[in-house]
Formats: sequence, structure tokens, C-alpha cells
Amino acid sequence: MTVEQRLEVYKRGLNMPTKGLVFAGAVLAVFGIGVFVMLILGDDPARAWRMFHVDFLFFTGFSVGAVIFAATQKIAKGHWSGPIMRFAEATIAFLPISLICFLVLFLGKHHLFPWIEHPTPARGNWLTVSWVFWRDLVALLAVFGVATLFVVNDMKPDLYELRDHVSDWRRRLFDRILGGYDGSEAALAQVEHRVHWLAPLLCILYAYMFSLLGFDLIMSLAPYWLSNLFGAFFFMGAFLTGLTMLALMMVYWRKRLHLEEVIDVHDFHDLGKLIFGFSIFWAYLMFSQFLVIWYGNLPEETSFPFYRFWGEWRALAITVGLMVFLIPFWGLIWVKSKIKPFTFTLFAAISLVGVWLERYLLVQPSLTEQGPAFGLPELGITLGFIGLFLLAYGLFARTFPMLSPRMTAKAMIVTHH
Amino acid sequence: MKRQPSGVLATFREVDAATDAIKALKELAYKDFIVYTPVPNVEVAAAVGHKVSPVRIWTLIGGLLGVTTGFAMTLWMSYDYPIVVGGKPLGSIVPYVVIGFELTILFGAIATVLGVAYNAWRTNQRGAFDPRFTNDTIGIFVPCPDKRCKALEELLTENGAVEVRYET
Repeated sequence: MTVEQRLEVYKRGLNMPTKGLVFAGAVLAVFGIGVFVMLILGDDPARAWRMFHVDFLFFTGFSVGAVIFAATQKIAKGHWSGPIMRFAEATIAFLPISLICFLVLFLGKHHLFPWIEHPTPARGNWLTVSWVFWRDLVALLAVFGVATLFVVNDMKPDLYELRDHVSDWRRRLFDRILGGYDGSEAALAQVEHRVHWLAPLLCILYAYMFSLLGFDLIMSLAPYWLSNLFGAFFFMGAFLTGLTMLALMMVYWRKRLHLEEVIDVHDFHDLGKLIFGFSIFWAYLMFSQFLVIWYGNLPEETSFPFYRFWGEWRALAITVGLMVFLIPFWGLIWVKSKIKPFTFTLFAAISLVGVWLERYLLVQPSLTEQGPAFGLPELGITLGFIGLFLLAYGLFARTFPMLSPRMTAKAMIVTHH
Repeated sequence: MKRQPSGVLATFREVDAATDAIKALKELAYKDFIVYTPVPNVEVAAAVGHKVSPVRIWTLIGGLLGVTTGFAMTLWMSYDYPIVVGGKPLGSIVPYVVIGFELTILFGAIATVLGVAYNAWRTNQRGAFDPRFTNDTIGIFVPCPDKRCKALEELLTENGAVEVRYET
């Protein structure tokens, strides 16, 4: 490609057609919030809170998971993902909303945390409302803060390069974010140095803090049950959803912006391999927990998984196993199914919905006597979250360059001959 | 055993030069030349343009054989010499998954090595070699009869070969 052609491609990434996305997001968000408010004022507020909790965990997980993918690429110095990097980083726009959702979550604490009404002496002071709230808030703030810093720094060179192609408020915003960044070699080196520090820091923080969230917000719902590996299971599942969400975004924007020459077969193949690998890893972590619990056969340990694997929840548990592991495994094992956008999207979407059901299966049986229920409350609240996410993502895409000139150029050198 | 054919052996210090030479050779419809690289290299592999490796079928068969063996062995052993341990059923699938998984990897890996060996033996491609090709130099060997070698030598030098010699 010539320089002019490249600039033309980057401009497409700068002026994204986001009207539809933002509009759909806003409509769904209003609808979802309406349903949620109606439900918590209705007869069965607990059901709404439970679903809110499931969706909070799922959407927070995949928003951060996608940024973690970007961080892993920085750590491993992976250039192939250059053109799709910003599609992953854009999810930071959802993090402020996620933080608000966390605050809202504690309004419904009496419907969610059984240890408030029935304190659990075995866990000592670990499970008290204020201690759980403050440490989780700090955990979220730490991860969100570092994630935002990471993305902002990674964006600076692109903002500088493209600032002459935007006007008005965007130009002012770009200049504001750029601060003292002047495009010189030294400034670029400084930004890259910062990114290379923030990326590993973010990954370590993510592992620690999201383990904590997994323990506090899912495991504590069944306060007598414990599994040491559960934190890892939670955050690796979230990472998998980050990848599958990125896959869907990649397919969508590639088609929408006609980026066929920038995002090619290699990107599908590589991302497909990652999704395939982390599907196996999900099953591996799942089985590692199950094996130990099965062997030990202690009632306080077996109750949690066995309640989900047998009885009313069995069908859902099998569906989750199929959707997150077996179907993507046999679907994505072939090169052809990875590089064909249709099958690639299909299996990524199946995996994404599968993890959502998995989160549902982790939370709901701890809190309700009834079996699985999917009705308007579940659908409405989930649509609301989808709306909020699309809205945040759309606004980010509308403001910032979604194709990074420097990373795309690097990727083109490495993968195109 | 086939005798080593005569031909031109060219050495390259740079990947780009070697890639150009390979492309030039392919344009002239040379097929049976050999490329040696000290490390796997994406550019060179792309220039040579191999078909999909047949070794992966070996890996698949090895893996499937491994998982079958893993489960068959453990189940057969526990029923052949029944000892109840920890109140678990004799044929306990859950822990046997571990054996099944490990044997999948083991058999898959062994089958892969065998597949590489078999396919290398069957290809039976022979040509001059230089130990430097395992160190820091890329080599291309093009078999050709004596009288046509001059043009070939020129072509390889033009594309950046540092050293070209005729080997019999």
C-alpha cells in the first residue's frame, strides 16, 4: 500500500460509523434500566438483583479481559495484533459504568450475600459488608486505573499522528490528552517505556484483584464452600470472553470499514488459535477443581459442584460444558473454520454466550431454591447491559482513532510480504 | 540409496537475499532444489511455499491412540485386579482422565517425531550440505547437470549469494 492509501485507511478508523451502534446501545440501555427499576420495585426484587450480579460479573470480566489481551501483546511484543489492538483497548470505556454498577450492586446486598443475614463464623471477619465493599472497590479502582493509564499511553502516538485530521472538540480533547507529548523520538521512547511497565503491572494486578473479586462476589455466595483455584478460573474465563468479544468486534468492524487489506487471514487464524487454546484452558481449570473435590469427597466441598451437575441444573451445566469447551474445541481445531469469518464468528459467539451461562450457573444456584429461569427479567437486564456496553464502546470509537497507524504499519511489515 | 546429484550450492547471509533467490528459482520452474536454514523462518517458508505438512495426521492418530490407550489401560487394570480404594467405584473415569490426557500428549509427541522421521526418509532428497547451514547461514542447493550450471550460478549470485560452488 502507498502512503496515501494507508492514510485513507487510518482515516476510516478515525471517523467510525458509530451512529447505529450508539443509538442501539442507548435504546437497549434505557430499556434495560427500565426493566431493572421496575423489577426491583416489583414483587420479586431478588431475581432482578441476582441477574444484575451475573451481568455485572460477566460484562466487567470481558471489558477488562480484552484490555488484558492488549497488555499481553505488549509484553510478548506481538505485532500481528496491531490492527485489532484498539478494538480490544476500546473496552476501557465500559469500566466507569462497571464501577457505577458495582456501587449499585451494594444497594441490593441483602438480596445477594447470604452471609449478611447468617454470619459465617468459619470465615471470621473476612465476610463483613464494609470490608468486602472497600477491598473490592479498591481492587476495581486499581485495575481500572492502571488499565486506563495503559490505554491512554498506548494511544498517545496515534493521537499525535492523526490530530491534524480532526477538528473542534476532538482536536481539543486530543491535545489535552497529549499534554507535553510532541512526537519526538524521545517522547515516543518515553511513552513506550511507560507502556512496557504498565502492561505487566496490569496483568499481575488483574490476576490478583480478579481472583479476589471471584472469591468475594461468587464464592462467598456459598460461604461454606471453597476452592483455591476458583479465582484463576474466574479471571481466565473473563480473559476468554475478552478474546471472543474482540473476535466479534474484529469481524464487525472489518466488514463495516472495509479493512480486508489490513485485517487478513492471519489475524483470524491467530485469534482463532488463542480462543481455541483458552477454551481448553477453561476446561483444564474446571477439571482441576473438579478432580480434587471429587477425590476428597468432603460434603462441604462437593455440595457446590454436585448441586450444579445433578438435578435441576444438570441441563444447564451440560450446555455450559458444550458451549465453552466441546463445541469451540471441535469447531476451531480446523484451520479452515478459523479463517472463514462465518464459522470463526459462530464459534466465538457460542463461547461468549457459554461463559455468560457459566457465570449464571455459578451465581444463581447459590441464591435461589428454584431451578434455572430465563424470562423477561433475565433477558431485559442482560439487554440493558449489552446496551450500556455498546453505548460506551460506540462513544469511544466515535472519539478516538480505532486503527493505530504505528501498530498497523508494524503488523503489515511483519505479516505481509 | 540414491547417489547425491551434482549441482550448485549457494550460501546466503541474509534472509531477504535467500528469499529473492528462491522466488527467482521458482519463476524459472525449478522444483527439486533444497533450502537449508539454521532456524525456522517464516519468510523462507513462505517463499518455498510448502504444501500442508503430512505430519499433522500422524499427530492426530497418535493423540487419538493415546487417549484410547489411557482409558483402556486404566479401566482394564482396575477390573482385572479389583481393589476398592477410598470407596470409589472400580472404573472411576474422573481420575483416569488424567492418564488419558497424559497419554494423548505422549503418544501424540512420539507419533509426531516418527512422522517427521518417516517423511524425511521417504522424501529421500539428497544434495550437498555445509555444516554452516546449522549455524548462521542459509543454503540453497539446486541439482543440475554440468553444462547448465553457469547460468544458475549467475542467477544465484545476482540474487545475493555470498558464495556459489559446483558440487559433484
